[in-house]
Amino acid sequence: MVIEAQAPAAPPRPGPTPRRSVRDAAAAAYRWIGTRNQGVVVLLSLVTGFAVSAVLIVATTADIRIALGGLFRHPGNALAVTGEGLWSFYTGLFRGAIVDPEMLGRAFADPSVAAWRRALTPLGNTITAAVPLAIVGVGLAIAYRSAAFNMGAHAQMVGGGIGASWVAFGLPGLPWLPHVLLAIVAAVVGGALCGLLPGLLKAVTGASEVIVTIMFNYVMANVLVFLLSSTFFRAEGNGVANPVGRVTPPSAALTDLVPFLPVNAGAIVALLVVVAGAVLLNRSRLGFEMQIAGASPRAADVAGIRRKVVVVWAFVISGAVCGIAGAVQVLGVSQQLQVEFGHTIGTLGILVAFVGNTRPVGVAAAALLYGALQAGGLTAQLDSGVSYQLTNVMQSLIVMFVTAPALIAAIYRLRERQGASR
Amino acid sequence: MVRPATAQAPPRQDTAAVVELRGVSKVYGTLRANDGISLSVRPGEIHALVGENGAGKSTLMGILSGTVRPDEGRVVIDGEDVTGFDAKGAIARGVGMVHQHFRLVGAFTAAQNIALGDEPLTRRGLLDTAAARRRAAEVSERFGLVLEPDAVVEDMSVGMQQRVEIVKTLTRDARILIFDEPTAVLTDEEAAALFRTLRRLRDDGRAIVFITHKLRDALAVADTVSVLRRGRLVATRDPAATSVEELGTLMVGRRVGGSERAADLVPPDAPVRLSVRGVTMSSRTLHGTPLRDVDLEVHAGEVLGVLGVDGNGQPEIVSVLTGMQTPDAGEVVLDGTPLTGAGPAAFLAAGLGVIPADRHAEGLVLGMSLGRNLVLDRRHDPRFSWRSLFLREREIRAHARRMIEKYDIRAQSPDQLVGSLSGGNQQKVIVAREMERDLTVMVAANPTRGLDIGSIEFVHGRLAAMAAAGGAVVVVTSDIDEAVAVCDRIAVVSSGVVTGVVAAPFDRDRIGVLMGGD
Repeated sequence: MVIEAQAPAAPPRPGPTPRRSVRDAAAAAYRWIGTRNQGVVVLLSLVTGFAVSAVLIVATTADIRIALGGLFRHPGNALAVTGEGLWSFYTGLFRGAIVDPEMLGRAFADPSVAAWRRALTPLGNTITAAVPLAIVGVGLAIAYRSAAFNMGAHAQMVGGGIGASWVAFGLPGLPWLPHVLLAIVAAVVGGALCGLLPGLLKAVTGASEVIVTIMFNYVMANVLVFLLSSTFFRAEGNGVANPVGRVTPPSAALTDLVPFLPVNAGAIVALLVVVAGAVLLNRSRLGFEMQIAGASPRAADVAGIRRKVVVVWAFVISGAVCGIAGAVQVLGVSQQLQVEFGHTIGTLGILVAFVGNTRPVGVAAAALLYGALQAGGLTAQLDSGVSYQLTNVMQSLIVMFVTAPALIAAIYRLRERQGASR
Repeated sequence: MVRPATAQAPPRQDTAAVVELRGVSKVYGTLRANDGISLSVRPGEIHALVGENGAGKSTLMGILSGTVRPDEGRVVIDGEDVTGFDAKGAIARGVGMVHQHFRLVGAFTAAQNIALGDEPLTRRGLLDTAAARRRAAEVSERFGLVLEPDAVVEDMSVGMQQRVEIVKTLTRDARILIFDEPTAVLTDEEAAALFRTLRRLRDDGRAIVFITHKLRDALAVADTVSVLRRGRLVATRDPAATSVEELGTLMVGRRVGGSERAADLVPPDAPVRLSVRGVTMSSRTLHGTPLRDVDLEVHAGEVLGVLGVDGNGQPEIVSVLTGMQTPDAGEVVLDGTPLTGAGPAAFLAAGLGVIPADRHAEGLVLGMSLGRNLVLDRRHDPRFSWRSLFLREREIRAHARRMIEKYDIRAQSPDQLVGSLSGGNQQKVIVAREMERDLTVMVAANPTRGLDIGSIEFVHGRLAAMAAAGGAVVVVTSDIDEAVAVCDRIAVVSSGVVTGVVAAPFDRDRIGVLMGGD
């Protein structure tokens, strides 16, 4: 805030240019950090979420509580235990989500594919967790920018998963790439159908798409259970009591891209989806119309946009993209359908779409953040004895802060952006 | 605050005034919304305030009801100086408002609405619904305002809803009742019933301020009529000693000089570009006005005005002219092609340009860039999109830069969000977008509302230029000066009916009378 007062007043004095430009860049960075925009809000939400979680960790971890009980008799011990607990939690988060320095050191000392793969496993876990979230997030962002509040990513993932799985085990003998592509096409069709229905209901009958899509999640979840109980979909050897789907054959599997990084080809699919989503929203005529209809329905009417048609398209595209996430999971990660397929990711995708401010690139970043928290949470728990639930609480806190930008702006006294209305 | 009345004013003749305004002024920026208004209302008097839009009626009403604080002058109630009181204070002093757009909760019953804000409670602190119903029944019976306490408000007729609103103010012991355009939404029978109620309230000794632009209504029920024009109280008349014609002249006034368009600019044999015949449409919104048998015709090279006080059917006429709504009966013909019910896209494709009344909600997408807003309705134009699939971003930017230049839009770049522009520049964006299309007809609704003088002249100049180039222009407005300044002919509307069509040179008295409903 001080900078703002100084920067314009600084006289253009002669001097070495490089130093000035560095200072300008620093001032610009400072101004950016002091302004309310989604990037800064997410960053500060992360900081705040970590800080609040620290308090919760201290309050809920048995060792730390016991040590703090003796704060006045053994203050050194109390602080050491607390510090160590927090340190191991946060470093555990890092080691589980990005890279374990120890493993990295070993990989450098004795390089081999296996060693590198071990060192990069945390990063791989993060990306693998982020891939379906990014795809679902982009799918939902497309709908949300069109003011079509699609809550049915779960159903659409199931639709996509069923299509992909069916093609995967139902057409054995196809060569690898055509088989994978065909499975993804089937997933697109399945997801689009699951988006078309609520879209039509909204456009034709005016039904609330929120209610319809939420209910449709239950419908599709049970359709899946029904299919899994059939001999056609159920893997042999599994009873009806605990049904899982037939396993994806290798010819349809999304295999790892490179041997030293445990990330499958789903990452490429996610990348393509993010790019396609950005092109749709920022460069296509349909995306333009969807956003006009979403931002200002009356202006859309005046401009001759048929909003009912546009909303159906938004739902179909959104559903198709969510269906692709189903394919990525069933072809690359779970390798088969299960009863709870798509439930967690379908729900988290909603959060990711909002945290990413419904911009495809932002959604991808939010998905990576979420994937990192998920992958890191397990290691953090193992290393520090903090319960895994706490990492869930921490994730929720961060999302809460992101979705309450006014709160973050108030805590850190952020300035409003000029002419900000998105 | 409490001061003996004798310290302020000498005793008045006959009954002492219950409300008195002394030299009240209110300034908004450069606009003197109220300018030294003095007015008094006695108990047992119906005092009508008539004036056009922007004459200062709402401001005056706000001052009386405590929502607007006057910059100069005094407000005296019961001989006590209450200047600067707030809405709560006004209610405590017995001021009650019956709003034009009722402040009622649609899903609640009459009794619940009446109780709202002053709810009777049981000893346990719960809502005493029985007492609420009793109170509603009591008051409605006392004033002969028959209503069903358990009926749900949104199922009621407009006249009945108004009755609920009146009863609500009466349960607050309002002695000074302000009615804001109460007849604007009523049928003739409902209006007659309202007048009976007003007289009954007057005979009960209450003071009534009746705000309206309908001169006949004012003459029918008022004991005194005051005329506001441009923030000033220009006359106070006894209804027995005046006429609709005189009030119309007083209300509209005369403007010296003026920039009226010359008569006979339009050749009599110019082809009809847009015509509307026998359009009848029931109201589609809660506060809308139904249209009855509206006929309009615009020729090539002509500017036609559709003039009326706000709330007399202008939005409905615009929505019919632009294809946004399909009338229940009648037809719309654009350049020889019947387009009734074809939808806005067909109207746009047939060469209709629209400057919507609400530029924020209808004309622009505020969160989008200037460049995008300039092509909002040209998405299929091959200049700006490749096979209607992808936008030609570079073309859109270049076009925006040209428009910034040509229409003098004060913006930093084509990427600037349109929401960050000033109102005048936003309007220029809309004008630029529409004018740059290949148009045969332009429908402009309140095209200069809220703009500064420079922007007003710019917009008027563009509309006149379009007509001069052979286009047909419809200007729908509630501003008589605007209509007189740009139009060749003016169709005057009142309560959803075209009350008359006048041609330049204009007779303002006649227009005033037509606006008042004759």
